[in-house]
Amino acid sequence: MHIYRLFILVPALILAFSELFAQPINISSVTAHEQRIYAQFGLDDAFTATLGYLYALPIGSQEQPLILSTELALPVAEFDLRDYRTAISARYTALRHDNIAATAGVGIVARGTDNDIFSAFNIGARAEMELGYYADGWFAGTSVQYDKTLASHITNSDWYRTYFFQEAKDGWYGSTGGNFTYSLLGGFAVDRSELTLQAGFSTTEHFHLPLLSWHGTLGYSYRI
Amino acid sequence: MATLSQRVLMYLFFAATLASLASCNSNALDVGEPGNLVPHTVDENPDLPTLSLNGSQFHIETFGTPGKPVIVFLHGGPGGDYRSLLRLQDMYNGHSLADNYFLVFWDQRGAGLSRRHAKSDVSIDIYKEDLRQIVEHFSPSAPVVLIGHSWGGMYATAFINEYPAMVRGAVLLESGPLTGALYEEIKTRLISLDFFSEWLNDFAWSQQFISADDHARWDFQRLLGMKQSQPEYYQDMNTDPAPFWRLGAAANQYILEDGMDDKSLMTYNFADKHLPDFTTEVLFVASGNNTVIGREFQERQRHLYPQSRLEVIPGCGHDLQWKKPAECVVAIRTYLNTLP
Repeated sequence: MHIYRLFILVPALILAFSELFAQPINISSVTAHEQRIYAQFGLDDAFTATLGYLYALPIGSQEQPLILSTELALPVAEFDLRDYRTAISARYTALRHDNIAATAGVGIVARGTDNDIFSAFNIGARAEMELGYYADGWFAGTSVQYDKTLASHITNSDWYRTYFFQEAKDGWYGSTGGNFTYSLLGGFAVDRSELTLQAGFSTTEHFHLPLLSWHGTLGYSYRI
Repeated sequence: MATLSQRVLMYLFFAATLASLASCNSNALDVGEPGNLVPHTVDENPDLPTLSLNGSQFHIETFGTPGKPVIVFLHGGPGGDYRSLLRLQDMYNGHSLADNYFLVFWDQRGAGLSRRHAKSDVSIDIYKEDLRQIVEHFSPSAPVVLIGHSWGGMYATAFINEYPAMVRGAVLLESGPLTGALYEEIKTRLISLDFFSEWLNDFAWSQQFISADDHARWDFQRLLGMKQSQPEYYQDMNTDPAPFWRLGAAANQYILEDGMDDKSLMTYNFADKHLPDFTTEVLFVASGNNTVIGREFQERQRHLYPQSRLEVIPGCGHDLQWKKPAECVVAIRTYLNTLP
């Protein structure tokens, strides 16, 4: 199988069969077999709207299910389906003492972009740790996420080639970088609804501050 | 039959394995390798014309006959390159500036195809010393004419402020602000920072794909601001845009930071030393369309020089030297003829 077919297959599998997490959530309120839909809006690598679905899979202890979710994020400055991000992730409570818990998660990300200079499709991987205080009805915590690009297909725009660098190479690139994201997060729940806030900043994997490093999102989830 | 949890974990594992295998593919291109997304600099391509001085390696080209009076061109940015100035050496009405002058085009430290440097090796003082050595190299016994576009006009002024005796005359093609105070007055209009603008969101979104951890990636990513970030400069970026070889994103950031105080206010002043004593007339040229640093702004800041005059090139924006080179050359030639 040629390598590029893998990059079509992987996101297809991701979208077709799996679930993920991304939305901050009060883990103490999640019970086995619970399902939620959620939406997020805010500055998240751009002004982005996110829709997702979450499922709490019973695994091991029924009190600590594996939280799976899947989501689709789209920048909304100018609606353009060539800019998108999808992900699947799984998160599990690694440590818990009374209301304090630490969770760890991993995920796979597929995303695309199209701009004046290049278009790209990228596969990446994420790892996340979260530490927080989770009470009935509210929670507050902090998280750090590492998002590593694994491979990207880059196509330089005609404009860039014509006027700037004719020999620019299109094709599959290995890792094109990675970012750490540091966040403060919190939320409160009323009945089946939960509102969450998340804000923080990012650095590159070599700890350089990117030009636009802040993020902040408002989220809403509904237990179905 | 596998349970749902086993199935999900299997898919996650499968996807991760495929992605990992793909990332290890030895045929994959290296994004940090110059020549893939951005051109090589003089350090990687020995065929480029270069000059070594002041601990750096500069991409440099000359036109005309050595021994004739020297004009040194200073490109914009900081972090641009001289490619968009090259039409100024073309022939118009059967004549080129190279007929009467020895023309020196070069990419500034950390910019264009010149060598990249760490922050400690890029500052306004080091830039002035680079230019001093270039002037000394090409014209050891006579002052030179400086022609600077945008940041290049600021650079020329910073140099004249320090070494007025080395400059015979200067042409500032729509120069950026010559003092930090002027910069602060217009800074909100220099770049469009509308949070919902397409260019800014494209830039932010791209940070997931390419992280600026080496010069090649940093320079490539910075291109995203080039086309749409300065709407009030009225540059035509769709048809025959003023070209670059390669942006110098680090040099751009380091020079801007060097002009700021610790509260990020621009405090540089390129008119505080010898500029008030520089009595040679300086030619300011403005584009007719730029509403930020066009005619009105140049009219204000030209009075920082004791002697100056302003020419306006109508029908163009900040890329006047590329879109209206013949008109620029006429203004330059007329000015040069007035120099002693």
